Amino acid sequence: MNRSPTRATPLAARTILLFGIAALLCVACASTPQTETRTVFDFMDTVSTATLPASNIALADRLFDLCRDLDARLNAHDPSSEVGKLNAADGERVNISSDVSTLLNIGKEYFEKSGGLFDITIAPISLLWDFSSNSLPQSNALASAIPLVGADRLELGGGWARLPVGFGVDLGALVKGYALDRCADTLRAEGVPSALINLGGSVLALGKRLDGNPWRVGVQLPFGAEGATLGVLSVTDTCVVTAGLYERSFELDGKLYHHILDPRTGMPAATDLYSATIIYKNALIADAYSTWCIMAGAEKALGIVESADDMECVLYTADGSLMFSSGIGSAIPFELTGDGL
Amino acid sequence: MKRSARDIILLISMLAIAAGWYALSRDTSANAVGAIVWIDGFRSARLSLEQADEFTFERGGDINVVRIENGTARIVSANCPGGDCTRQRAISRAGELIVCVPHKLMITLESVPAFDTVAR
Amino acid sequence: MNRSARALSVRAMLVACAILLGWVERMLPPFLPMIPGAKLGLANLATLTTLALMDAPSALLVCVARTLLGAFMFGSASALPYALSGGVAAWAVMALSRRMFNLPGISLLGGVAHNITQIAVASLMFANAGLWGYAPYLIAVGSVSGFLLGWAANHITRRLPSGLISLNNKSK
Repeated sequence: MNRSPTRATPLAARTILLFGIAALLCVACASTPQTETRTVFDFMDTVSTATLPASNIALADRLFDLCRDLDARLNAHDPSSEVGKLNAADGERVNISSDVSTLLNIGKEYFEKSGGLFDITIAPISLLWDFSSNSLPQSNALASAIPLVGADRLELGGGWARLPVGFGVDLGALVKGYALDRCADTLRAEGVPSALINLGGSVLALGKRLDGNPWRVGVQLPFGAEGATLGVLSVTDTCVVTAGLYERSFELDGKLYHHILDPRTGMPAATDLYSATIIYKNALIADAYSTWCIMAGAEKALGIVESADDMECVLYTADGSLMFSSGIGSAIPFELTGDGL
Repeated sequence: MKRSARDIILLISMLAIAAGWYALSRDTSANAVGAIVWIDGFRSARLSLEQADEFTFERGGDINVVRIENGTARIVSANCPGGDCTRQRAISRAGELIVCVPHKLMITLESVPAFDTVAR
Repeated sequence: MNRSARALSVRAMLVACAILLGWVERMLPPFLPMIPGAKLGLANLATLTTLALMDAPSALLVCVARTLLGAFMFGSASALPYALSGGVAAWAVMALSRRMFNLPGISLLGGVAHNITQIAVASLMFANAGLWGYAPYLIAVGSVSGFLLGWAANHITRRLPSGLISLNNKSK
């Protein structure tokens, strides 16, 4: 073992040391670019937030104005709104804006696709329900409203619509999704690369976070505390829309009355799903599917979502189990959180 | 320089590298708020460190029980051969981790909130 | 007995020693149980001794043979990729550094290489770079245990019967 010593060796040790230090410096540098978040409470009876790059935060007010305007024009509860006037037209043709035209067409399309489960002409029934009052509508009023529902009776033409006398549309199931899509249009037109918009729980995740990671969107734990989640989706450039029995609902004599109404009975839909969360590039379509899934129930809902291209879902059943479409966990990562475990 | 002296220098510089790496990789800037459970390379769960609780992860017969208490996470029991993961210390700072090699399960801590927003 | 047959049986004996040492380490309680992957690496003593007394190819043979046989005899299949890659990496670094350091230094580098390789393999298997968080611990553990084993190997090679050493056709 007595070979002649080589002079160069301390160099070897020093090289190793330098290597280590260089490797460490790479770990040390990480900075996150700035975003800003605005929150408002004054439309759609709910909280809305917009998270934008600090340099684009001025756009938040434009987005909120856009949503306020849509909310005002599409509100079935306001007789002076565009939808209110359509509902009060007593069987006459009414000229409609392109926004209302889009929504009515989608409404009719999904009425047919869902075999009548998803029905935007639910207004005669839905206007009888007041979920803030904890009381039921009168049963004879409900009974007489049921024959006045059916989107097949809605006539649509270029720029006009006609409803039979006594009929009415309620776009409540679609308005947040539609507003999100208009927000996405605005943001894309302005060249904003990254934004997170939450309108009363419906989410537009435009692009990625500024740090390059996907947006992390929690899925509310039904009937849990606000912010308690079933899990967190990692999404890029898509929308996340949830329909759930826990929103706008009340309990009476031990029975839950929720806002997703069955056009056939006038009562809250009898379903084994507590919530249906749809992940899809278009929020309006996602909105329609989320309601349809609740109406269809757990067993059929998965098939409904799987038959739509590039759509994924997270379903939570009344017995407390989670169901996923095939792309959840692979194309779209989903991690469980402690609240839901 | 004598070879034996070189061996000593090598030992000291390696320990220095280890110490330097440790000092730089430690995240002292923020308190950890969540424990991520990675299974097979996927973030499978995110547990809040703020609430004491116990969670069982089972996958194809592989069981690890994770306990959260006092802002720390550790594996309290597991059916992996050897049970090495149950002997690792409870972790409480971002950057620390626990690993169960046979079950390909790993726990890391992070100091960022669980989500950016919630869909409901 | 001819020369190559004797060389073969010496290698076989070294493999047997390595397997025995691996078994002994298995019987010992884990030292530093809080750091996964931290171990003494007793079996590496055989690779190191082979490297010192014979040549690099023989050391590789001993290393691979004892890893495979050890895994079949009492190891678990899941640990084999770690053991094999770590062993080969340690052998390569030790063979390369043979002329620069004494046995403690050579063995130290082998220990560090073994542990770094284990982290690299685990990072691939777990698909997660977070495992590099263990690197400082495993570098320190690999250095100290490697150094001590090298020191032990020094004594072993000095005390072995001279007949073994004269086997080495490249002997000084």
